[in-house]
Amino acid sequence: MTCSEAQANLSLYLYGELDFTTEEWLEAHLTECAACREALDRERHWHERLELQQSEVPLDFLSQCRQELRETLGIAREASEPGWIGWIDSLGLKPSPWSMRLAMASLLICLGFGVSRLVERNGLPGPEYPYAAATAHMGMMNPSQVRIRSIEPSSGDRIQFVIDEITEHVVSGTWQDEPIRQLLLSAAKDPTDPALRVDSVEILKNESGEDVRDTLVDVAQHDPSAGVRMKALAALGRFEGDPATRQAISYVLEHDVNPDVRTQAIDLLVPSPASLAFSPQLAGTLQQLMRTEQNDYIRTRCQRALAAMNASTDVY
Amino acid sequence: MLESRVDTLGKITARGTTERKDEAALIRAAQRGDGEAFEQLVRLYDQPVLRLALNLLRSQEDARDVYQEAFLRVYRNLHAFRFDCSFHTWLYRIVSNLCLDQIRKRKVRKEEQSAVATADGQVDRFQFLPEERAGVDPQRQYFSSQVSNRIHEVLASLTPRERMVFELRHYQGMRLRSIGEALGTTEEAAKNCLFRATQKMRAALGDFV
Repeated sequence: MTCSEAQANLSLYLYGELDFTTEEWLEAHLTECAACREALDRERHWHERLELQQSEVPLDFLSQCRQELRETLGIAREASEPGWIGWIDSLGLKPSPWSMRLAMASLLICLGFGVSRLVERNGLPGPEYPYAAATAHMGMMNPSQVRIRSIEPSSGDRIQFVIDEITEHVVSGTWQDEPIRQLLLSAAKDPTDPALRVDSVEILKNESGEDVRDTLVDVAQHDPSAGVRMKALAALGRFEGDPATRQAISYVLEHDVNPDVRTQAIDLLVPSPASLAFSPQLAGTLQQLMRTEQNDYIRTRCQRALAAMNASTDVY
Repeated sequence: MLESRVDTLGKITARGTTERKDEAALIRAAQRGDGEAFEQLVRLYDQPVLRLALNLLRSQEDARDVYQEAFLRVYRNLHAFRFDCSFHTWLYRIVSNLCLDQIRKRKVRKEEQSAVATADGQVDRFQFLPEERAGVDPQRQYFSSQVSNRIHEVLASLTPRERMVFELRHYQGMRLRSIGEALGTTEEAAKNCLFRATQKMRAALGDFV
């Protein structure tokens, strides 16, 4: 393999998309050729640079899109044909007018037969949901929203049902209502939906209280989404005078893997280096950061802040 | 405002406590008309879909249209989904077709470009989005904008298919085999597209970054 062939294949190599033989040749070439190893480093570097350029989807925007989709689907459901047409479609049948009439006739015959059998056995059935009695007996809530997902024979003569219970509640109230407060605080940590967490943090940023601060700190430190962590940091801005909050922001600055989040953290900790008063704790954090931080902007901010505090940029 | 937000929160938080169904079960439930299952299915995939549309189209309006249309098509055609391929591939086939159509339409209509002319030359419109962060360093902003401009320039110079394959491989982490399936082509053709795209990227960025 020549150098130009090797270098042309470097990206595919990094993506793990070369066939076995080409990859073997390339690796053999790389062990012998320093120029191609350097080229591989450059290749890896611009791949990483592109990763940094990748921005997260703005979660407000995602939330907005979801809301619009929900509304559009609501309209689509209302305008759609009755459910049984969809069911027929799902069998892969395109009903023609004649086959539809035939199907309707068969359906009516079957219905008539079935109903007569039921009446014969049990008398006229009431309007009750079929599983109501059984599920109520088992202590399940809201039987009208219980759905059997599967039935399986279990050990011995037992039968096992997998049942989905879907419960939806609409609650509304003000921030002063304790249940509303608790719901908002839990929603900020809901693991299933980042957009929901953003919505919650957005409301929490205008509220005060230790529980709000603690929740925002927790989200800023531990949320899996960088976008949500940044929102929480922005919301913590109003608590920046509080020592515990500053300590939490310092933790984010030292430990967060995302450079945008760390940038936001340092912007909060040292908003205006010109008027920065000396703080041993802050100086320690920034000096520590100078040893590990790779991001040029954050390093520059650290240097300026340390200079403004007349502190050294080195750790002894 | 608070009331409507809290209504949504109330609903979704209660839902969050229920067990997450696996994908196939969700699809089957959604095929039976279960709106809740469909919504969960959307949430499994909508963030990467929106990211792909935003990256490719560089316009929130267009990305929003693709998002809506893609999931509406999924909703309307889900009953015909037969598990012949993965749901992910099926969804990305829809999304990539919509994005490619949008890019082609733009070319025909000569619609507004992602880069706009300013006194300092061509600048990407995303730079005009408001910067929420306080105290942004002008030096850092200048360097970042230089790199971003170069990246956006070279991405814009790729053909729509090269761009699509590059986005799917580099940012969405899809294997070339799945990309080929999603784009209705072979793995080899997708590989050639990726090869051409990375050649262009290397030429433009190799010594710059």
